[in-house]
Amino acid sequence: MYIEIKNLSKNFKNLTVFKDFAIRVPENKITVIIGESGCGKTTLLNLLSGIYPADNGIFKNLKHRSISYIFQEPRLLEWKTVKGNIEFVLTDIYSKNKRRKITEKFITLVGLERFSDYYPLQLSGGMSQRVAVARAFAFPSDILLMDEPFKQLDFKLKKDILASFLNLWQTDKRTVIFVTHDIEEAVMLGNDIFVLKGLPAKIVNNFKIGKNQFDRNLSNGNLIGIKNDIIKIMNS
Amino acid sequence: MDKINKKKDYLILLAAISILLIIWKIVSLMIDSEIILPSPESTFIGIIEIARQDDFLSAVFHSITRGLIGFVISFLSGIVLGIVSGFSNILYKLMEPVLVIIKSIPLISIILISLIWFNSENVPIFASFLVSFPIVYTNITEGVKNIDKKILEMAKSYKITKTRVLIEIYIPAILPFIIASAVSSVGIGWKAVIAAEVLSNPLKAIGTDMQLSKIYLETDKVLAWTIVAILISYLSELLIKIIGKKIVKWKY
Repeated sequence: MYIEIKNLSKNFKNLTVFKDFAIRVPENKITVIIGESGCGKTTLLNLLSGIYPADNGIFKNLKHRSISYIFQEPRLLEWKTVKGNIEFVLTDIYSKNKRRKITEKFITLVGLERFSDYYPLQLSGGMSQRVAVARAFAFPSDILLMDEPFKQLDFKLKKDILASFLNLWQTDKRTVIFVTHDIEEAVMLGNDIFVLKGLPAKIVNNFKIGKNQFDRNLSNGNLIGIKNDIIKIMNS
Repeated sequence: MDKINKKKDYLILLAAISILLIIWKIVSLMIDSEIILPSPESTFIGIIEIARQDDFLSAVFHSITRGLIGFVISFLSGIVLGIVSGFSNILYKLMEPVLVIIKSIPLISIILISLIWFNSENVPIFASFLVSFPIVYTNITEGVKNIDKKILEMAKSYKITKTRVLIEIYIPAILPFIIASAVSSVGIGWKAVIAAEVLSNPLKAIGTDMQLSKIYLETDKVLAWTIVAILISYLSELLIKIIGKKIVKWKY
């Protein structure tokens, strides 16, 4: 099964970000979209999530699918606790009891059980982003959109949260669309990698990596090859 | 650490008040006229004297009630109109000239005009309403306009209903603005109440008693009433700050 987008167009005033754009995203896999900043990656996610309306486009297998979204920033509600922030997206879906159980489960999975009654202003940036990851997984979505969610974190935190994310995904393989400009992130995570370039944006190349994400090692020859190819394409 | 700091703060406050009292005492000795500037101790006696008058509490009570009514009216209308203006550019533009007029009209004109329009009981209420309303309204409108668009996008992507966005995002986001406007409008509203009472002379009012003391050249009592008014203003501001901290608990 695929999520398929065809004939996608989007203009902002005089700027054409997408024109007759098409992409096919396999379900229950991690699809990475990589490109320089300003090439329309975030716009693509916002079009998929319905935050922006598309000017034109055919979206196959996307209607009535539920979506969760991890943004560059945590985007938590300051006035709700860690627990409250996760329950916030579950209120219309589950009964109070079930909501509580699910919230607790995901807070534990991202290792924040001691902080469930903390407010976001009392948390570090890394902890807040982990709450955002927990919120996205607690929400029963078919599709998970991720917009450079680790961009603002330092190396060690990034590794931790990446591991949390992969652990969650391993037990619950949702369709992930992951946007980044970090080549190593792309090679570590993607089952499919699409390289986006130009304005209006075009897919200039794509790669497939069969290997399980947990068994990947960046010093492996095959991955180094892909990495170098992507660098070459992005620099050309 | 916090406790030590608080203690230090109190000491500084105490020192500031003592210095003021000393300066006051020296100046009153130099002027040497109880009518022009009574000494601190005769003012203090004045406070005790007015506090022992039969109608002291009822004057205080009635003035506070007027202040409260004006505060509540300006608060409710400011919040409602502020929220609607935050969403509707048309109302925002319509309100702009109204606000400019209210903000720049001299307080004394407001009082004189309302003396013509209302009975003496309601003049202070109207005056405090007109000075507080722009503060509340402007704060709330800013609050609505400054809501983080990114949070709204998040809510949209998780398909949160409009009602819940209003109750769980908009309202809590403007709460700090509501508290801030309460803190800054309560003192100004109170000043307007007293000023209006001095001119409109309601039967029971701090302002009326002040005016009478002035007529009888009881300067010590004028000052005594002034100190009572300052204390009430300070305490109500303190109360709002304490309530505010309880309500906006995520920031502390």
